[in-house]
Amino acid sequence: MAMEFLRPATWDEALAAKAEHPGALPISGGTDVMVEINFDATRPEYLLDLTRIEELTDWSADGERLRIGAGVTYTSLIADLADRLPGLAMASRTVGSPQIRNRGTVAGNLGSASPAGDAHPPLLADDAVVEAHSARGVRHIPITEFYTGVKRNALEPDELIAAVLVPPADGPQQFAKIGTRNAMVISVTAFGLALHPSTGTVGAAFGSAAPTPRRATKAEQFLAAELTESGRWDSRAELDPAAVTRFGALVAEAATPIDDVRGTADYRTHALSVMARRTLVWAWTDYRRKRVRTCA
Amino acid sequence: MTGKVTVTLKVNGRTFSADCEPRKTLADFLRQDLGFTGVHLGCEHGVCGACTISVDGSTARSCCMLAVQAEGTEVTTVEGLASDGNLHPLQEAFWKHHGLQCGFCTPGMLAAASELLEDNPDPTADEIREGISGNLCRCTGYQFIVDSVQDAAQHLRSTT
Amino acid sequence: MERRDFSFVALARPGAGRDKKTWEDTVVEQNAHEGLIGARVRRKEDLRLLTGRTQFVDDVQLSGMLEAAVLRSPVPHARIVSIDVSEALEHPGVYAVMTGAEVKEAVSSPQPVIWRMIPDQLIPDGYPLAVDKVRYVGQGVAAVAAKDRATAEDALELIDVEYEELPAVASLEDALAEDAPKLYEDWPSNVSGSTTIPKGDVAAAFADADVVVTESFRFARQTGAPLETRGVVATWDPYTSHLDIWLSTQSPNLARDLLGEVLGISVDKIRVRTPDVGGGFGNKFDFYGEEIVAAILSRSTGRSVKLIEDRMESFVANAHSREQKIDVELAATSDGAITGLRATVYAVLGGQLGTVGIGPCWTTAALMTGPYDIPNAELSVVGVMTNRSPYGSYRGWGQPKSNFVHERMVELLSRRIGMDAQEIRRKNFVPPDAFPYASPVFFYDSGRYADCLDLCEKSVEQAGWLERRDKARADGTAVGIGYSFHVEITAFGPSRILNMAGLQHAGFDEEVVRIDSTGHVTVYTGQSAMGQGVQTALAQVAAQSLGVALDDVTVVVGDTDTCPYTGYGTGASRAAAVGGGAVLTAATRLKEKVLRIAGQILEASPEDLVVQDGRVSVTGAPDKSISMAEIGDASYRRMNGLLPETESPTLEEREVFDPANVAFSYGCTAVLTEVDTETGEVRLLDYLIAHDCGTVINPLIVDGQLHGGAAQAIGGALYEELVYGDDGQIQTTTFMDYLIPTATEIPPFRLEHMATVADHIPGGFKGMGEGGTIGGGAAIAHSVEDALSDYGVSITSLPITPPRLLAAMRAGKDNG
Repeated sequence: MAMEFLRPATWDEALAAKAEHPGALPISGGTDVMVEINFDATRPEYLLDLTRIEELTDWSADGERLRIGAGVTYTSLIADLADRLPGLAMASRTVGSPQIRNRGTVAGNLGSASPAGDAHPPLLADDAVVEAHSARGVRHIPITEFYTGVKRNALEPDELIAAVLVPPADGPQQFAKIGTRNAMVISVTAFGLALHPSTGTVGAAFGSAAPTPRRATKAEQFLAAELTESGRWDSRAELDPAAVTRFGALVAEAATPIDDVRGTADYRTHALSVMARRTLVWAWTDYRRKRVRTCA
Repeated sequence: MTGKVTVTLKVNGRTFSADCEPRKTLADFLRQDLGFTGVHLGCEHGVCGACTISVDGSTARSCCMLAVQAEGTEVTTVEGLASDGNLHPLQEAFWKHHGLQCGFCTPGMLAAASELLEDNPDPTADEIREGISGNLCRCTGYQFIVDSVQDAAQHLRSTT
Repeated sequence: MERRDFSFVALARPGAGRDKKTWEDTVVEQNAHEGLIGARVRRKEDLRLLTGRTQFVDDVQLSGMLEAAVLRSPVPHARIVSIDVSEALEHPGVYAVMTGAEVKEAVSSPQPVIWRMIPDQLIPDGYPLAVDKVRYVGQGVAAVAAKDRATAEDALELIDVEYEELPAVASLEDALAEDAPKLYEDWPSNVSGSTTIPKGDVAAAFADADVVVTESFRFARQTGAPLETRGVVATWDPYTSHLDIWLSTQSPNLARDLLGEVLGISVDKIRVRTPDVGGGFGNKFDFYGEEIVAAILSRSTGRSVKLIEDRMESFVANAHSREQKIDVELAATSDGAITGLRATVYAVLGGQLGTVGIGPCWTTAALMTGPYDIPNAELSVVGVMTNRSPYGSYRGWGQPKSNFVHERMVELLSRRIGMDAQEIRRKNFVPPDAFPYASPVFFYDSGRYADCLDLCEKSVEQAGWLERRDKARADGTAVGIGYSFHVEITAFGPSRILNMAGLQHAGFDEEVVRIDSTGHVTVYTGQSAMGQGVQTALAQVAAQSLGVALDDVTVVVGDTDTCPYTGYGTGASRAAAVGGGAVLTAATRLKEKVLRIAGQILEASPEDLVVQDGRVSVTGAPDKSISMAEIGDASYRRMNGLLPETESPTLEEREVFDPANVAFSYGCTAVLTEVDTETGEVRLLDYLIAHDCGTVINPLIVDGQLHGGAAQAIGGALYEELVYGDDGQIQTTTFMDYLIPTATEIPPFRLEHMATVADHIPGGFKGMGEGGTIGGGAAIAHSVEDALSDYGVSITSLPITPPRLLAAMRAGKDNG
């Protein structure tokens, strides 16, 4: 069936096109969109190709946050930002395959808003903000308000994702994912952890275990309190094994997974607790090691 | 009905221009309109990697790109890997080490391996496995592909 | 040993010149004393494949060609109330629309079921498209031919089918339930048939047994999933009635005969051409309705019609395999002698019988005793219809399951009586002096099983696995080693025995070897080139038998008009053994003629002549010689005074080889595995196969076959599963859901070889295309069990997914 292809040369043209055709489906790397089109799962009347808009492929420092343009590919994110956004870079490395990382973008993950998108847990754990533009203006959407349902997000019909704003890591970050296959796999479940020593807070979030990517708020609060009350942010002493276990259990409690061909709900819950415990131990080991370096 | 769009791009160094429907994938365009049947379609959902080509110097799955998105790009397909009748070292190495059986995945595999060696001239076996992890091969069990890429890497290092 | 190293020459920079001579040196490694048979030779197939110059079926373009698409049932079980195609017919660009009922009208007979092992089996008439009822999701209902595929797909949406849905028989349990809905209403149940293979006195064996081990095994549905999907391009001239068909098939002659049977035309009017085949793995052995649909659409439109399935279609329209439930009992003495085996194989068939019917499941039963001399056996198979896609061929053809069963039973017996599993294997192996050995069905020709097991164990030790396991365990990591021993039936024949077993086809092979007027050689074969290197292997046999260079041999495949007849097809690991044997005999006979001609010209006795590198010379007088080119010229063109009066012109021999028996290859697989005890994830660290396939023609190809087979075993053991829901809907129709291993799941492979020749095959060749696939599952399961020895895990189903393994660990702990 007929499908119109819109190819704006500038961002303003893109926003104007989106305003005129709110049903237009934005496409950049094509990772998700093309699969849907090839499977005939979606038949947009208009496709809005953003690959010509060069400004989208830039990243920059934007005050206290890094501003990652919607066209920045996983490959460049890994190459350029792994030191400042280790959690997101780790997740990016597990995305698909080299070919997919060459063209796929974090913004694409956000646009699809699949509960299994690999970028979501680190974005949630790191308090990212989605910068949405429309002909009407600019809107900043906190990541926690962005995911509204299975493959649904908070964008208005005339809005496009311009960038995602992420604070650079102020502490260790980790990401873990279980997929039955190593590469080219939709995660059975995934988990992202960010420790924020500067604010004494913790970010913990998971994918593929609820209708949307989700933060494990109770687990975050528990761990932050535990680390603060025990003085471990400063002492960097070994973690209390009971606290690690409790953290894992609280993360698992936050999940409301389903059974599907990739895994059972039980397995997902169990695996989340395992990943939460492991990433915490890795992150804390990292945190303790860093002190040794600074002292020396 | 929407009209056709003219797409102009360079494939293996030569400029081509042809009309196509906006919904046509780059893979179909290369195969059907331009005759580059070395581009193979194994799944049309971006997993098998058989349709992998190089677009402006980096690999892409041509089944997950629209032809119209390739406007103005420079594309290399397997047909452009050898030059002047001389095989690329990767092709020679795949031949020597039996890095292919039915050959259906081979064009995409060569494209992925070629990019890998540009980024990492001396990859370990594990790095090669990761580098070709977006390309399914159902025949070889990958061992001889890994051997091929390693040998080609060694050859390229020794001659450049 | 002479070793000719292959080296790269001046290739780094584009345009840099190279010494072409060096690249034409095709031999990677060759033992100078043994010639080309056994040499590690680069494949003749590869240049065109490496440069994108191949022709796969979807690359075939014919003038005026239409493209077709098939409308497939969205429901598992329903009566077709009505089909309205009027709107689709009106769609611009559409040339023809065809329903199942129309296709049935146009054919002479239903889709053939060529394996009929059970005399009283109920075999329903199946047609290329569903007629009154659909019996699985994805079953074809109607087809459209249009100016291109996109238009054909658009038109499919305009076809209105009214279904009256019936309750789905979604699983084996559903099908066997007392009040189960029936797929075929006139049948007493959903059971298509059953049979039992007896040997000895099994009742007595169990009555006298010291130990009886009982278990039930379950195997998921899996499929070969070649990277190239199936396809056909048909041109059926409505005036001459000639059908010219391009088909991605492993069995061109079988396909031609079956096309003739179904379409009611004589085979002289049918030409089947097989382009390069992008992987077959058995899936492309079978004969499908799509080839008939394309042919009929071609006749009705007067145009060529291309029908290429897409990947999602391939998951419902290609043969499904492996799915079985097997209940087993094993009787043994307390010192480990296996005295009896009793098993029932439940074949979870689909909604229709495929080309090979219940064949693979029958083979599971027939070969369940494996390498062991088990005197008493009672092996049953029960075929059960379900609302799933039809069952068909996939590499291994039933043997991966029989192997899993006999190897798992050995391990279970080992646990029960506290005797090392390897000792049980050794104690029960068919000994070398017992060949030919009568197993319950087949005669095993030759083997040295204990030697092969020793070789494997020794190699595992040398590879340092035992230390790796010890060290890992000391570090708290769960690492284990597992073994399995397999036999593989190859060189599938002889024709009459196959007919007696129920095959409606032959098992011989015909090969033609010709020397032309330039002294070069062409081999014409009915075998199909699907990536297994048959062109190279047959060229090696011909070149060595004739004494010519490998580069002077061309092997022509893939055209029933020019190539000879091969019974069965390129499956069942036949091509190298049966084809190679035939080529060897034909070439040897042809060489005799060459020597007679050369003898006349050189005035020497043929016995005093030798042929080497395409030159015939007199022993002891090397200056007295003549080239193969001169002999060719004398045989075709300028023969006066050269070609003996007693010889007819031309140089060609034809050999029909119907082997006296099958040939059994065998091997021992060992796997080193790490298990994440918290997540249940399994990682294979190393993989070793010790293997014997008789005389090896090309070690490079043999190694590649073992690697590829093992990778499919790994996929089958850990990742791949065609999942059906309780509603009868298939849930895995993409490569994101059906998980074929990538390079990151597959471990490095190590191989060890030994050669016990097949005396009854010229050259001593045995086939070996499936061995890698057969032995892997059990070895992987054993390595996982070994890694988790603290948990007492028992693996009884494949694939071993992380959730299932965690559940097994919990169950093991509960039992322990």
